Amino acid sequence: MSQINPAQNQPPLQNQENVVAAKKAKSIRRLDLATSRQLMWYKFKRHKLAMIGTGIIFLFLLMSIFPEFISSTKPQLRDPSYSSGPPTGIHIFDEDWQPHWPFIYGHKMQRHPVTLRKMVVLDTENRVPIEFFVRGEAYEFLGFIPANLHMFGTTDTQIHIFGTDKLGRDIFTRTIYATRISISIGIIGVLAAFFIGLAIGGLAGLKGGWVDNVIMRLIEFIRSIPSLPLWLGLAASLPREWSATTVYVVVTLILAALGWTTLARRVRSKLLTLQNEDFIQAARLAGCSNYRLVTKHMLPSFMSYLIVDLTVAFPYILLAETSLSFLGLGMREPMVSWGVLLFSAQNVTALAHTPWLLIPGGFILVIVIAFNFFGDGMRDAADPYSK
Amino acid sequence: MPILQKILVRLGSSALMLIAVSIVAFIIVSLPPGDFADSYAASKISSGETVTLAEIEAIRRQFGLDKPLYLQYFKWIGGMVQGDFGFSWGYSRPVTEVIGERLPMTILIATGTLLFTYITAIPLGIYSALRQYSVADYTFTILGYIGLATPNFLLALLLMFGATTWFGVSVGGLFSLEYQDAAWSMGRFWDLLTHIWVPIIVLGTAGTAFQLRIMRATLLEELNKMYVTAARATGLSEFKMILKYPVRLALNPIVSTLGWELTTVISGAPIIGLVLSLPDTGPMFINALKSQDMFLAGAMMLIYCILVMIGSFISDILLMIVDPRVRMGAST
Amino acid sequence: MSDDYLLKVEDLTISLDVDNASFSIVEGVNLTIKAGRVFALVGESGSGKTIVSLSILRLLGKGVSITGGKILFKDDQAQTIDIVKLNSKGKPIQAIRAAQIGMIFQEPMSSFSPVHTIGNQIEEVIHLHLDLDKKQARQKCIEMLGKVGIVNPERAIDQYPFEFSGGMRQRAMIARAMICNPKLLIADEPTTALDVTIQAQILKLMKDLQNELNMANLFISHNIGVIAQIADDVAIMYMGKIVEQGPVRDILRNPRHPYTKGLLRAIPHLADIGRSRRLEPIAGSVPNLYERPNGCPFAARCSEFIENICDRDFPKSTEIATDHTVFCHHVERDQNQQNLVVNI
Repeated sequence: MSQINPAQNQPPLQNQENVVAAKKAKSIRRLDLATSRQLMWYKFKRHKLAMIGTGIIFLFLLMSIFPEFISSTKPQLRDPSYSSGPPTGIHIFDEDWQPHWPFIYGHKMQRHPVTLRKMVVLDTENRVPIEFFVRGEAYEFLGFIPANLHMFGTTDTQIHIFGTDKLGRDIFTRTIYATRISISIGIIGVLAAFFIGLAIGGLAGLKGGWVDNVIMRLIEFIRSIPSLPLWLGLAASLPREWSATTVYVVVTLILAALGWTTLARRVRSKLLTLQNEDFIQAARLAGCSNYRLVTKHMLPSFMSYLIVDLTVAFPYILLAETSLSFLGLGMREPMVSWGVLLFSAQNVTALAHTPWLLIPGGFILVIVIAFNFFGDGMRDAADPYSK
Repeated sequence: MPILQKILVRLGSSALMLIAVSIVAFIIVSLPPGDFADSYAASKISSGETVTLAEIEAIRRQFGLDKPLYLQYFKWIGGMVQGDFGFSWGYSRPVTEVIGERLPMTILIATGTLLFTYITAIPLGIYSALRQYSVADYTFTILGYIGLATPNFLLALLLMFGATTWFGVSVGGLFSLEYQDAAWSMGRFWDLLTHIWVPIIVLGTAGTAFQLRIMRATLLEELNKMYVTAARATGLSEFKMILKYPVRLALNPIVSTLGWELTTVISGAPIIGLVLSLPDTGPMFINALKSQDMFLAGAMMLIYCILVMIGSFISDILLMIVDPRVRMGAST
Repeated sequence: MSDDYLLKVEDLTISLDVDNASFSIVEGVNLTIKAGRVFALVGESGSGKTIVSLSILRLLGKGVSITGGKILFKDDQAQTIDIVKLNSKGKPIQAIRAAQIGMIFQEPMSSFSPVHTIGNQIEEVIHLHLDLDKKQARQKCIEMLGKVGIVNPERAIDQYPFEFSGGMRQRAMIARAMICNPKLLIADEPTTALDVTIQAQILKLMKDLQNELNMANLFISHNIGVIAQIADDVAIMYMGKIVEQGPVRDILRNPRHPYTKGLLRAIPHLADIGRSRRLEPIAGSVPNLYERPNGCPFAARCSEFIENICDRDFPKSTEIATDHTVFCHHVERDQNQQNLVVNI
């Protein structure tokens, strides 16, 4: 009996293997028949890190669209009773290990008995439960709908889950609001760079000759200058009396004005190689107009590469803005970006006493990593036939 | 002969580039409305002294600020050629002196950073490629992502924070107090070494991560090429084969990005100098920009560009040495 | 078959791993290469002929592995080594490579490192396997370059591959593969990437050298014309299996497998000029590698397809003449009937 059993079992096992192999074959077969856009999507989906990155980017976009709702207060609002206060820990157990609905402790201001430095002391007697969807500060939802609903908050005292700065402003609120500024600078900067790059690179690639020569020299020139000193120089030359909004626009433009070169080079080289491709020659012989040739035949064939370049450029622009603001040469209050927030964490004493000022740096890190993941996935997907 | 010719052409275009850079630097530093005479007057007034219009005019004349911009440029660039970089109003000393005492530190840090970058990135990149999908490979990849995503100054802040809270040491500066103004000695040199690794690591992390990725990716690509199989077919041992052929070829893109790497290091240096309060050109440059100390800022911007140009020049020459195709101008 | 072989491949199976699934891309291949003879392996691209040739030197890439069979090689000490059992990165196989079995690759453009001189890459082989000093090695290298027909070898030895034309590179490649006088030379489509005139020159060179050095040759090609010129024996491969095998004259004159017949019909003949005979392509195309049919792999394209037979089992080998074997149900059937007639 025992000898027969394995022999009986074997065929079904083999069959199972065959089924698995057949399924694999089917999925591979499906790849053979898919359109290039489907292929890109398959490929992108298989890149797990890219999917994680996409999720994170989506979260940040939500944050930058609805900061009023997510944060519990306003970025410029001060809580004098809690200046330079540490993050309020969220507790579930009280001092006696009794479980509760998530709560925070109330706090009071005291002077240190020896140094006389003002400091915040927790009041463990006073438990303040955290509430979700609370009514609080009034704001305009999406800029025009009056609202006062916040994602979470407390009724009696204010909650500062990331702590406060020395003026008593809530770091969490400021970080969430800063997301809007930082992300929008990245997006606007990248789009501006995209159009500049497309226009200039297109001009060079299509006109050729001396136009191409001049543009290429210009690009080489810009690329050979160390970028940060140049940004610093330009940003430093902005008049001090300009409003925060004007500075926002101009800084974004400066970043874009120096970020278009990679894209322009890509557009140019693609256009030049495409000119000799058979399908372009065929379209030309078929009487295609120049405009149609470029927009219908050439651009679509390398659009995916341009999009990859854009996603790769985004973190660079974001980091450049952060650096400028960190040095006090970029955004200014009340246009708070992550770099502006880190500005106050510049010296060792501030770091030692209020290390939570560094929290916005974590946001920078996360979004840049997310974009790098996303960019890698896009790069792989843009080349759907590569393994 | 064609090699010499190439180098000459390269030098010529560098010279042209330099002139263009000097014009741009000059324009940028003279962009802000008002000039040094104005800010000088403002600072005098704020400290309670009185300044007359005549005095302001006198300062303007003294520095030639009343002349048209292009004349100012020629005066500036003419002085540069003779080694006179103008006068720093902020430091009340000639620009040459101010920069002269700080530039060696900047060059030292930049060179150290490049060495650190390549010495770590190349072996780790090779290892990563040869042991693709191993634990070490994944670790390097993750560290690489983080390294690329961390802004330099944030890394500096974190290091400073960590050092002060956990180890109770300060990592700022390049010298301990007792060696701050001491003459050069073995002790001072050693003291420098114990400090300089901080800015080097801070400046080098992103570059290391980037070069590691390039090394890994190009080596993986080279390993799939036909010449690798052909070399294997000669009976060469795997290790020697990999070192002699694919690694050697994968070094080419690394060498060609040397100039670019230097550009990023130079770009990042000022901000790190400021955060870590290094006695190099960084803090000086940023302060000069902020206080519109125009000759100092302009000269420094030009020097940064020259450093970068020297770097890319060296990188081009190196590429000619390692790649005969570049040296002989072959297309394939 | 007799025992006077140099290399004997027995029941070789090679698999490819894709995403945890394994596909066999070469199945049950048997080859016998005799000393001093030219053996040709013919097939369309993707038929597995290159894989077979790479497996002999254990040069298969990542994800491709030998899963069964033997590769027996008689080395210069007349000992028989089963190459399949060797470690692909170990010393024993490295001692065989180039010294006893040399190999030439399809792409002369990319089979040299572009940043090392030709001389460097050939002398390396000498230092690996022969006991010569630097000067002697260089001398031997120059001689060899001259022998393969490179003009001015003293100058060529210090040149880089990109300074060579495709034909010159292939000559240099031949020099690199033959510098240690191997007993067997594997040539994987050595002329495919070259111009027709250069092709002829390279073929002639290989034939001459092969005669002069009395070397066996495994010649991989998809070009029947080339095979007719150079080979003694030939095996036709289709989808990783050998479908017909035998002396080249037999096969060309009396092809029995429908695939072989198809291949031969698809070649233009000078005699057909003015006779308005159209070339006959083989209908259909090679099926997906991952959907290997159960029976005869050629069944789906075969004009003599027999239902319920050809799509069930792979046909057994049928010897229709001395050393001429065919794997086809038709041939098997005919043979059986003949045998019946004889028996009656």
